[in-house]
Amino acid sequence: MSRRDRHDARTPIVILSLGIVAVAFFVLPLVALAIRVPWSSLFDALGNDATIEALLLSVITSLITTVLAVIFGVPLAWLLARSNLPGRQTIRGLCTLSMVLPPVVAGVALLASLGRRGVVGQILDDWFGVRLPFTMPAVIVAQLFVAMPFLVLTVESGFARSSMTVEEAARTLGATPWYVFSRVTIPATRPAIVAGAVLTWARALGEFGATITFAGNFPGATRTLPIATYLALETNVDDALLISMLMVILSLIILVALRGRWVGAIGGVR
Amino acid sequence: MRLIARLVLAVSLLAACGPGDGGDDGVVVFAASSLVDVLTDLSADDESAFSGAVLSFASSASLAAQVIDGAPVDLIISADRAQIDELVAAGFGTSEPQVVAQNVLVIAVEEGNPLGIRSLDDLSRSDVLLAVAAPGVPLGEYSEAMLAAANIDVSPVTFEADARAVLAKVILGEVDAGIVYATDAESSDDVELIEIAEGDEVSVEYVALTLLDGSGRAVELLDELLGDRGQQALGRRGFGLP
Amino acid sequence: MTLSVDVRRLVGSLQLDASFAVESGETVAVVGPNGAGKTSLLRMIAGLSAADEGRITWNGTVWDDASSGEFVSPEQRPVSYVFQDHALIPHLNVLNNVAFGVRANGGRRRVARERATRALTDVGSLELADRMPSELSGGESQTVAIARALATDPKLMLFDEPFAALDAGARAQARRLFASMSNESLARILVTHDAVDALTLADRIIALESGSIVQVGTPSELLATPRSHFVAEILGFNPMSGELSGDQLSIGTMILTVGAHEAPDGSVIAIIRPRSVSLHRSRPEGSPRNVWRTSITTVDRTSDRVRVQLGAPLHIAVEVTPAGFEALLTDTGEDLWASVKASEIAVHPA
Repeated sequence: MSRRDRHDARTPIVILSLGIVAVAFFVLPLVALAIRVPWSSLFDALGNDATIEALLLSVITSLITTVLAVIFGVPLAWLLARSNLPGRQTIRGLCTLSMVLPPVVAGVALLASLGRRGVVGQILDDWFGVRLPFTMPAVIVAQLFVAMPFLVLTVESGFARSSMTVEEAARTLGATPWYVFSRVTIPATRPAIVAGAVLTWARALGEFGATITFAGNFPGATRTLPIATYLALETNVDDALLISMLMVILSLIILVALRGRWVGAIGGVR
Repeated sequence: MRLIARLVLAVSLLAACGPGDGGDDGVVVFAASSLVDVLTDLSADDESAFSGAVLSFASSASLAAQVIDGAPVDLIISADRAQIDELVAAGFGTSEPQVVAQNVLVIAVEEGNPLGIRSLDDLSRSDVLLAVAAPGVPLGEYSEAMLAAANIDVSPVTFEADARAVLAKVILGEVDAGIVYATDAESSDDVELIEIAEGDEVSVEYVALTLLDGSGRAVELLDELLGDRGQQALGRRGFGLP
Repeated sequence: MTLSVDVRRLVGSLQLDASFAVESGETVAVVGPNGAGKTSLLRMIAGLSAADEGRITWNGTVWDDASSGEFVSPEQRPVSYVFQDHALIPHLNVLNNVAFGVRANGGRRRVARERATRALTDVGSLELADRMPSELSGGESQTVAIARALATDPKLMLFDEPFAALDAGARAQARRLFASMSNESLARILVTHDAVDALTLADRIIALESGSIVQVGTPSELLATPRSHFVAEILGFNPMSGELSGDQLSIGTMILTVGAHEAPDGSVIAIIRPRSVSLHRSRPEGSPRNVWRTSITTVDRTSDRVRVQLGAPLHIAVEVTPAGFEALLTDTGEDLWASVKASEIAVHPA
């Protein structure tokens, strides 16, 4: 460390110490996992059809979930941040409740509403012959239910922070409300939308409790990578370690690819 | 500064109050999930050796893994013979494994049995949604074996992680039938139990092993299980006796 | 074309009640202290809020009629609004900002670019075209905001405190630009709390205080007969009409030397701030200043200052510290000397 580094911006010792503890807390389990993994069997695990199937299912469903979350979540965020809708606080609370609920509880709630005997599910079954549980759409529904709040909250914060005066100026210049939304508001909140989408994707990728409760476990249709890991833990711990490592590598790739572009935007710092 | 000192003191006190070692007060028992009701019954009984015991229920594989990792366990009771044999081979056992209980597989259906399911054959009907345990889990292995022995083809809609999860799907009405242990079906008032004629083909045995790292009271526990009190408790909960 | 405003609206705890008209070619200044309701008035004219009672019409077309419920939204009114903080769109460069209005109205990209280029040239800021708003200084972003408002060819322009955030140099330049922009087919309303802006840039002044109009008139009418405390406060700055010739300013029988300025010869408004004038017992020697003999007509004492009204030949108000006044050891009626530096006299074209 040069003299400059040492003296120009001093970090208080307390902060440095606590920060190091926090780093260790996060890094230790990942390092330990990497040590325990039987690396020699990794390629076998990768070649395993069941594992590849679970991997593809996880990636595809989480991507679809993210897209749907953006399509429905951005308007909701806008309503919460900008409209005069009565009861916005309550609506916000309800929409983000699933983020706080234990995932299995969320799964049970989904069964109660969209399951075969569910309030809406029953109608879907009786009238349209549509059954959601144990299908791939059910996986997407479960992921969406628990992960979408991340997008809604992040984007709402983005909308709240973007300048209303600029939007008013655009109106006076002749822009219709939709033109303002698409050409001024959305570009201004793009960082928040990206950050929200990344968080949503990450949460959807790792989603387990709601998925296994609502969508069950069926190879190819609802057996996502987290579920495969859990089951592997029940049968063969080495397999579990390998699949876990796979998920860690996958997540690392995502995070590294998007480095810097989203971490700052969540806090509003560029 | 005083605030920080107080925080440090509080944190260290909390750290000291970890879960108690079995060696100090009670015994530690690892058991397959199906045994949750019967062992809880015993631990509530003041005169039982299991009184005040720390009970841990999980999948057979993770229980075995924890023992290998050095968990201070007195007794392990598993539905997976192979796991027990592995532990013996690795030198963790202090005596021969003993069968303490048995179980049979049954079909669990909704109260009232609306689809009129009578036997394993009915499970392959196209209008029946079936839940079974996943392959690799003891129940899953037993289910598969039994279906194979009876020469029946089924298409389950879901492979659950354990017996209780299969049961939950039946209770919730998400599936029409599930293959579970008799003890699980009996534990719930919301399901009906259909006996399986071919159930005898597959014998589910619970094997107990006293372990090295325990408190030393493991033999007491095993004796009780094999003795009157234990066998009666098991019988009350629907287990077959060895 | 006429903008006719007759509105009432409750803004917080303030009841805004204004009735006036503005013609094409006119520049009207709305002056008043902060919180008087000036911005709320502008927002109603722009269509960003609606009147509780009353109407706003433009050339006979109703823009806002509280009783019938008619309301024309802002994007459909040919009004441009220059906001106090300029409100440039942060992710577009200057040229695209200026072109925004043209595009929003359905203009094609090339046409929009051309009109934007022309607008930027008119305000003298074409070289800024490729910059991003975050890279501009206060004065630069203000000219860009004006160019953007001009590019849509508005018939009515609203300015909300356009010079407030600028430093002295940028302010002078911005005032010049504003003055040069006037044209017959454009009506302009300028909101400001700075009297000098109003006096020098407007054809008519509307004085707004606590939501009500207290006076309407030309700058000279207001100066001659101020009808409210606020308007009188404007006069606290001692604005006076005079004739300028080179660096010689004649006000009544007085001839004063003024410092560097940019007003052309002819009728001007001169401003002498009360604190710029010094009072002396005997004729001051030394540096070239305007010096004259005068007397005190009234004295107004408060704990932290003394306000002295001077008599002939220059009836201006002067502010001194209590200690300074004691040192004069004088009272009403007595002769004393007053001086003010040439550089402390501001002149503006009338």
